[in-house]
Amino acid sequence: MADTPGVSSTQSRRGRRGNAGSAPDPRFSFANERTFLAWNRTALALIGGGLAASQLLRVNVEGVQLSIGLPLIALGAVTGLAGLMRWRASERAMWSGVPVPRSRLAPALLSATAGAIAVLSLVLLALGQLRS
Amino acid sequence: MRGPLEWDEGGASERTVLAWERSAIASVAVAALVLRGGIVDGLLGVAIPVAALLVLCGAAEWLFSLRIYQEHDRPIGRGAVLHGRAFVALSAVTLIAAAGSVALALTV
Amino acid sequence: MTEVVGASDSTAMAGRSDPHPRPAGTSTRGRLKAALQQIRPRLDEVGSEPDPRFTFANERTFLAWARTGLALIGGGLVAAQVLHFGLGGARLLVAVPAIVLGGVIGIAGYFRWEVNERAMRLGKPLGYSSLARILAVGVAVLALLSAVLVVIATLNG
Repeated sequence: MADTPGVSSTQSRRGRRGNAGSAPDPRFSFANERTFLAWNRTALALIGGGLAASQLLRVNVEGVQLSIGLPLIALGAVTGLAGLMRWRASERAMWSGVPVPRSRLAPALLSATAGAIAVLSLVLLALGQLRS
Repeated sequence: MRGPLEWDEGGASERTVLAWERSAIASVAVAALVLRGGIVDGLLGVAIPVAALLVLCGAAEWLFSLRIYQEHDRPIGRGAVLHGRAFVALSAVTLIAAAGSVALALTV
Repeated sequence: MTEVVGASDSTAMAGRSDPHPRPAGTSTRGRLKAALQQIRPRLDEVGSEPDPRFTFANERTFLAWARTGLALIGGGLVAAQVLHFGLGGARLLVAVPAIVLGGVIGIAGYFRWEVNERAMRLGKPLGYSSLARILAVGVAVLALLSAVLVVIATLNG
């Protein structure tokens, strides 16, 4: 594998990371990198959203700000971690020449939360609980 | 010097640069939100360090966006991929931002 | 590594047998699971591994949809809180569709991700998704509604 064109000595040294693997095509690594950044941005969006919700929502019902804001922030933290773990697992898989694992839980959780927040918001609006 | 087609096939380098730039914007935006939260809630002792970390993150992300294009004689075959520690650091700052935001949210 | 696993094996792989064969006469739960397996097989057991760049791209697309959905929901909540058209509850006309649209997009994005993943594994074309059109129409309607409300509110003084 050291004969792979384009693999410099720097990269074959990086084979230490994997189990006698060799550097994957940099385009795969770039794609992996971009996907990590996408997860991180999503995490930041959730954290920012949770923070904004806890501050900007003025609701007649006690504790609603926290019950929307805190789960969003927590989900943001989970998403950030999930992105890191996914990046590592994928990088490892690529170095070992093994198929890249697929994240299953995180996307489902994310979507479910979006739906839940939407429903909750509609209920709040319907009950006229948002102060203006 | 290689031609642009050989240098960045599929635009992977360019798209990665853009992704880093978007991330920089997102980091700075959340920094602003955190800072605002600190000012509103009066918890500046938490808000300022967290916001500063996030701004540093944004600066680092912007710098990362530069490194790929900086060396024009570095064809994509030799790669310009980051070491894993950079990603761990980014995720750590995200976690810190989450923790700080929880603190700010609880002091409303 | 970097052998692009492509579409050519799809026909051979598609009929792959269940790696977890169940004995005859299993419980109701077992039979239910088997039935579900038939209708909607687990992603792992369908087709073959696509090029990792495609998997990554699919994932990024899902994340973009999720962020869009969340942004719409957040925007709708803020609109409900902050907008004052001076027309009673007129801000709900903007807020409610925004929140509904955001929820729909957030959930539909997940199914889009799974359908794409399945299609890539089977080597089939990705198929048309109406998600983008729904978003475009929804946002256009919201913009139109907001503009009309703003004009009416301004005219009312």
